[in-house]
Formats: sequence, C-alpha cells, structure tokens
Amino acid sequence: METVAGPSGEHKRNRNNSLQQKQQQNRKNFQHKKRPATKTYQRENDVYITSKTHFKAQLKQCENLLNSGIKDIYLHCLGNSITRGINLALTLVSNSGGALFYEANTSTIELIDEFHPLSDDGDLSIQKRMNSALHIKISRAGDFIID
Amino acid sequence: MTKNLSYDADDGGETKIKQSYVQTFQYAAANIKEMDELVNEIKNPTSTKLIFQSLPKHMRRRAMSHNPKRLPRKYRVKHKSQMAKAGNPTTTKRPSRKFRRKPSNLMKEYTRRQRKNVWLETHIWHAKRFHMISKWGYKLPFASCDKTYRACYRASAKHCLLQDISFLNCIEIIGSLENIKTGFEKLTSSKCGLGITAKTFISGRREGFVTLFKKDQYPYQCLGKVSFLWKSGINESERVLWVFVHPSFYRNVLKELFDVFDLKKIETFSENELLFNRINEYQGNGVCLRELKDTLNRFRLTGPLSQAILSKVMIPFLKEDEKNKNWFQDYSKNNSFKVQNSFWEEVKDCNSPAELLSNMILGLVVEDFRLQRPKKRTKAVPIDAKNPSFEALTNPSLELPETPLWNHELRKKISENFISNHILNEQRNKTLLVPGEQCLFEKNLQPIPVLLIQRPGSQNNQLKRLGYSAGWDVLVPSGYGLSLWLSLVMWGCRPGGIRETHMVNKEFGSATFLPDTISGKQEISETGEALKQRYFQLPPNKRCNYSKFAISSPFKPSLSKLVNEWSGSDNFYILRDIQLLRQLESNAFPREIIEYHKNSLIQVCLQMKTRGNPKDLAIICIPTKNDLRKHFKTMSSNDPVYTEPLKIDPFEEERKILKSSHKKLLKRLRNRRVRQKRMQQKTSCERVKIAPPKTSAIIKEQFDKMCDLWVPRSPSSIRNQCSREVFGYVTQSSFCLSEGRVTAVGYVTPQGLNKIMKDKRNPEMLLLVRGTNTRHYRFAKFKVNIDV
Repeated sequence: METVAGPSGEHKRNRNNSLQQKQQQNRKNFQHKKRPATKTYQRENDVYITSKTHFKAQLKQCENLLNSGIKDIYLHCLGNSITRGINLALTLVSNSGGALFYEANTSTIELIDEFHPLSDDGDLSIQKRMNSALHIKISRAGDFIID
Repeated sequence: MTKNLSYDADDGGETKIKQSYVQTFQYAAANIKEMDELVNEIKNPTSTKLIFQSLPKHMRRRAMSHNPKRLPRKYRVKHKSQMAKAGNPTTTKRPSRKFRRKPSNLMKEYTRRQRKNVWLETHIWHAKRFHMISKWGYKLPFASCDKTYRACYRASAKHCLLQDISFLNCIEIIGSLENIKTGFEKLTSSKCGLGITAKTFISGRREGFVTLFKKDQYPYQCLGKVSFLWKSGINESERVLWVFVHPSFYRNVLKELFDVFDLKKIETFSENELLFNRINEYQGNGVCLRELKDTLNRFRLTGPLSQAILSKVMIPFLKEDEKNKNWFQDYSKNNSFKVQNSFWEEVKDCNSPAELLSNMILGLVVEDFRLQRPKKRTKAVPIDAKNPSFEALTNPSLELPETPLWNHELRKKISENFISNHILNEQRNKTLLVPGEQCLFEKNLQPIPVLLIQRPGSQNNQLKRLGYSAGWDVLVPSGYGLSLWLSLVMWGCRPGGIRETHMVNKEFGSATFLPDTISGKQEISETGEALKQRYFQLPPNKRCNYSKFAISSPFKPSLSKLVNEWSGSDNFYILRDIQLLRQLESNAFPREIIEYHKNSLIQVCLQMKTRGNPKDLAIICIPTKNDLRKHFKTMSSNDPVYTEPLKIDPFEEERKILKSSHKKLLKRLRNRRVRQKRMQQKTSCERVKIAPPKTSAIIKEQFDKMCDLWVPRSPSSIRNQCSREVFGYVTQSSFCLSEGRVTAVGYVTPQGLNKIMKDKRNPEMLLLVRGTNTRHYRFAKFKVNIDV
C-alpha cells in the first residue's frame, strides 16, 4: 500500500508536474473513495453543519439547544458547508436581539481518501488531503446567563 | 263347611294343593321372554337420541357433545363410542404444559421442527419477538413485532442496527493460488472489477466481493454476488479461502464449483452429529473444498455506534495461565496477538467504523461475551474520542487478520467446551460473594477467537452521505451465537430482521437482488404471483383497469420482453462492466455499450423531480419535445408533466359476454341436475338429493380466461404500451428517509438511455416515470449505480 501526499492548502497552487501526472493516472486506474471526516467532539452542544440539511431545520436545532439551557453551542463546518455555517451563526445572533454573540476559530482538517485499484495487480493507495474548517462558538451574552 | 286350611303337612295340614297351580320354573320361563325384551330395549334403544340428549334437563351442560368430561362418568365411554361412530374426529389430548416444558421433551420438539427449516442459533430469542418466515431453507426473523421500521433506520444511521446473518453459507477452499485462480476465472469476469485473486485481497487484509456466473457464461446466467476472504499466508501452494454465499443460490454455486474443480466427495458427516460438526469435504484438481454451512455465526452491526459497542463487548483476553495447557498458550506468544491487541486498543474509540481501512479484517481473541454485559440495558457511546495514528487508519499491519478461527479442529473444540448458562449460573450461585460482581472462576472461561470485518458504507458523497451504513460484521464460532447476541443487545444494539436488510439497501440506493440473478428472478416471480392473486381477489369494480391505463405488465417487470423489443434478443443481463459504468457515471455514453452490450440493462438510481411516489413496477419512459418544453415553462409546479389519455378497454365487451354466458351455462347445468333429481324422485320411495355440481373445472377455466382478459398474459408490446416510449422498469420505489424524498431503483435499456443522454433539449437528463395505477407522468433525475 502506498501513500500519496495530497494537495494541501499551501501547495495547491504550485503542484509539480509529476504529482499531476500521478493524479491523472490515479483517476484512470483507480476508483476514488472518500472516508468521512472525524467528528472529534460529540458533546450534546456540538452541531455538525451539512449543506444538504434544510436550513430552517438546522436553525431550529440550534435554537432548541440554546433554549434548553445550554450556555454555548459549537457549530463545526467543513469545506463547502462553511458559508452555510456562517449564515446560520449570523441568523442566530441577529434573531436573538443581542442575547447571543459568536466567536469563530479556523482550522485545517486532515481527510483521508482511498484509491481502490481497478485491475488485479494494483494495490490500494491512500491520499491525505487537507480541508479548511470553521468552528463557531455561539454563547449567551453575560447579562443573559441564568444560573 | 269349615276346614283346616293349613297346607303344611308337618302342622297337620291336610289341604292339598290343587293341580291348577303354576310351577315357579314355569312362571320364570314364561317371564324370561318378557324380561329379555326389556333388557334388549335398554341395551339397544330404538330411540335416535344420543346419550347426552337422554339426560334430564337439570343434568345437561353446555358443549357436552364436545367435552365428555361434562357428562356423568358412567356415560362417558358410551358417549365416546357414539361420537366415534358419527365420524367426528376425536381430538387427541394435548400433553400437559409441565410435560411439554421438560427440557428433554422440549429439545425433541425443537429438533422435530428443525427438520424442515434450519434454525439460527438465535432462533428462540427471535421467535419470541419477531415475525418469523421460512425462506431459503431457513426460519428467519422478518421484522420485529413492534413497529420499528423508522427506529431501525435511525439505528443504522446514528446508532447501531444488529442483524443475524448466519444464514450466509461459508465454503472453504484449500489449494494452490494458481489452481484457485484458474478455477474462478471461469466463473467470474475481469470486466466486473477485481477478481478473487486481486493483489489487495490475497494478503488477507481486506474482504472482497465478486460476482459469479455460470461457467464461461459471462455476461449471461449470473448466479449472484459473494463475499470472500483469504487466510493470510505466504505459502502460495496451500492457500485457504472462505467464500460466503447467500443461501438462495448456494446450491448453484456449489454445483459450478464441482464442475470447475472436478470435485468428488470424500468425507461426510453422520446425521447424529451436532450441527457444527456436519462438514462435507470434497477433493479434486489440486483443490479441497469444505462446506462450512451452519458452522459459523455471522452478525452484522450497522451504524456509527457499532464501534463503541464492539469496544465494550470485545475485550482482549490477556490472562496468562501457566497451569492449563491449551491452544491459547501457543497463540498468545505470537507477535500477531500483541499487534492485534494494541491495534484494537488504539482504534476502538473511533467515532465510526467508516474511519478505518475499508473492508479490513481484524482477528481478536476475546474474553467470554457473557462477562461484558451491563447490569441494565445501556447505550454504549464513544468515550473521549482519541484520534488514532495515521498509520493505524491507513496502513494497518498485515498481521491483523490472523486468527485461530481458521482451524476447524479448534473451532470444534471451542464449541464443545462452551460452558452453558445453566452451569455458569450454578457455579456463580456456589461461589458468589457480592451479588452482580464477577466471580473468580469466570476469569477461567475459555478465550474465544473472533473475526471482525469492517464495512465502509457509502464512500461517494455524490450518491449518499459519507459513511452511511458503515459497520462491522462479526464472525464467532458456533455455540457462542446467543451469548454474543445478548451482550450486543444489552449494549444498545437494535435488533433487525430481513426487512431491515432491504431497508438499508433501499436507503443506500441499491437493490438487494438484481433481476438477472437466481435470487432476483425468484423474488420477482414470488412478489408477482402475490400481487396477481391480490388483484383478482378484489371484486371487479375495485380492480384498477390496467388496459385503460395503458399498463401491460402490472405485476412483474417484463424485462426480457422489453430488451427483446429494443435489441431483438430474448436474453438479458445487467451491465456490470466497471469501466463502461464509470464512463456512464461521468455522463458520457460510451459507444461500446450499444455495440457489445445491446442486450444489457443498466441499473439506475432515480430521484423524483416533483412530488409523488411512482411505487414499484412503474414504467420509465423517454420524454418528448413537448414534455420538456412544458417542464421549462412550469418549473416550480407540482403538476404532472403529461397525463396519459384514457384508453378503451378492448376486452370489456368480451368479458361481459363471457360472464353472462358462463352464468347461463352454470344455470343450465343446475337445471339439468334438478330435472334429473325429479325424474329419480318419481321412481324412488326415499327422498332424493340433488347431485353435486362438479363444475370446478369449468369455473377454473372461466377464471383463467377472465384473468387473461383483464390483464393479457402476453401483452402485444412493452415498448409501445402507452403514448410515451418505455425503456425501463422501476423495481423498488419508496420514500427514502436518508434523502427526505422519494427515490427508486430501476433498470433501463442502453439504447433508450443513449437517446436521453444525447438529447440536447434535455440537459438535465430527465426521465419520465409513471406508476401502475396512475395516468400521470412525472420527471425524475437519474444516477448510474457503479457497484452493482
């Protein structure tokens, strides 16, 4: 099994030719399969944002969490769903009438892709890929914390 | 005149008895006849009354005739004989519950019931909670008696769904790599993807799947898809392979293997042996084959929490016991044992099994499952997720799949040394100090080798959420099935049955059985027959008139006729060529399909564009220019694209005539019988009854004719059955909980698909779909399924 270093954030622009060739070959002789990203935190106040879920439903999920007495919630967004996460956070804050505020934090998440061979003599190869992630903490403003 | 009237001569009587007296014996003789008659009268009463009817009113009881115990005891024998004469079936007495529940009698009863259908080890557990069905020679749990459809979906998506799939039959093949390869090359095709001897599988690190065909018949005569795993080993001259075959085509696969490897039976079991000892062995062409049918338990865990649950149940056996010499002594000294334990320690706190290497195999030797149960049913959740090392996730050691489970003798020994719950509890009773705590002796329960096989679930985020339906398969030696099952359930698995297998496949957007495989054909004909029966059980005015709706095959997808009309061939198959399917997936239509695969059908996954569920057996059609134009005009509307005009039923009049003539015929026959009866009555002094009708043959013939007039058996055309050109069939369509909309799986002809993909007016590549009991056509999008 061979490990191919994937295009990470910085190196994206200046990939060298050999890597490009290798990738093209990968596309032809291999089947590209993805593994899901690790959900590191799974506390009850962690919400993982997807771009597929209905926006209103996600908003309601966050509001319900906040209304249930939790002080702060964390929205984790990865890649495509970052815009969705920002929208969600801004909507939540603007709907709250000053009761909520947000803090944002960015990070880079490691993703693992598998290239499954299409011919009998090939072996499975692995690619490490980086993707941007955004973690938004939405918490109650000081005056609104009830203990 | 006075006389001494004393008769007695001793008293001095002198009166002499006159000769006119009657002698006693004469008197008795005279009466005998009368008494005889009286006795005869009592013994053989001429009255037609039954014995219980002769009782006085106050002694009569309800249901006396059925239950002789309600009669006075002296009449019972008589009553029983009367009942027997009347020809009423005498109900034999059911043995008492106490007798029936005796362990020995219970076992006898169970073995009797297992003669027809094989039971799984968890059968009794399931039979108490599930609807059981007889299928593929097994008695299998279909679905829980509770309403758990949605709960099972949630379990498969977010928690853990547990299924017993021990009915998958294992075949062990031993031989040189070369021999096995050449044999299987005849049954498989390299075009369908990786073969059985692909480099990534022979190391034994991953489980593989392969589609089997009849010998040299590819692409026709598909048997079905099987999974396999290799025993890791470097020695190429003796490799061991396990193939797991679905029981619906197990016999066919075995037959093909006999043919390919030229196998002869060498060893067989005796009927008295325990189920897990019954192993047939065959030898031939440098290959040895063993049927390990029903000797292994395989449980399927689906869902992200399966990782957490297994981490609770599978605790590596670490105890060093120098006193007892057993297999574990040797095995624990191996390097692989340590590697496996440290690997499991590292990855067991993963959030989902999908994060590991796909289809990886992991052997473990674990403590008895019965010791790993919570006191109350508890949901296992991952504790503080540790991120495993990149190495463990991507390039696990080659020693992981090694397991003593491959050794037949050892498996047998482990199954035989299983300490039953009864003995375990008895021992606990003796030695237990603190209730609910572990006893010292429980540490000495034998270690159990298990094999864990990962299933990656969805790996393409275009088709389905990544990681959906990921999980683990667990292989354990026979005997330990129920104890593992109970431990898993106690840690929060939700048990499911056959219905849940279909459900997971449906949610995944794939079909359980393809229509050109043996099991697929069987399924289609069974459901078709059931639908037909249901349809003709309805009164005519409640039946949907399919001829008016222009549906020619409402009970089963008539795929062979469809292919025949598109390509002129009678046979069809499902396209499995992975390179062509990959091109189709990237929206390019390769010319080779039309040239070389014109008799094929392509599996597509459909998603409705608007509302509506077309239901199973809907037709897939090509939209016309006007349909597409209308679609762009009314994009947001939920209205149907086009409504099929109501057709005239050509057989309506004929049915009416047939019905009335049939009624007339029956009437005439009856009148004839009545006339005959009257004629006979004239000459007879007894009452003559009317002769039985004996018209069942006529009625059946009429019914068949009627059925044919309702739904013609051989429709004139499938392709042109309605105003839109039909080029495919939907085989399963339902609301998909993972997508929140209706999705369906269908099969289309390549020629029709080419038309759609080439149509410049149809950039979205929309298809028309119409259900069997509607005239509305609706648009659907499609995706080509690669993993068929």
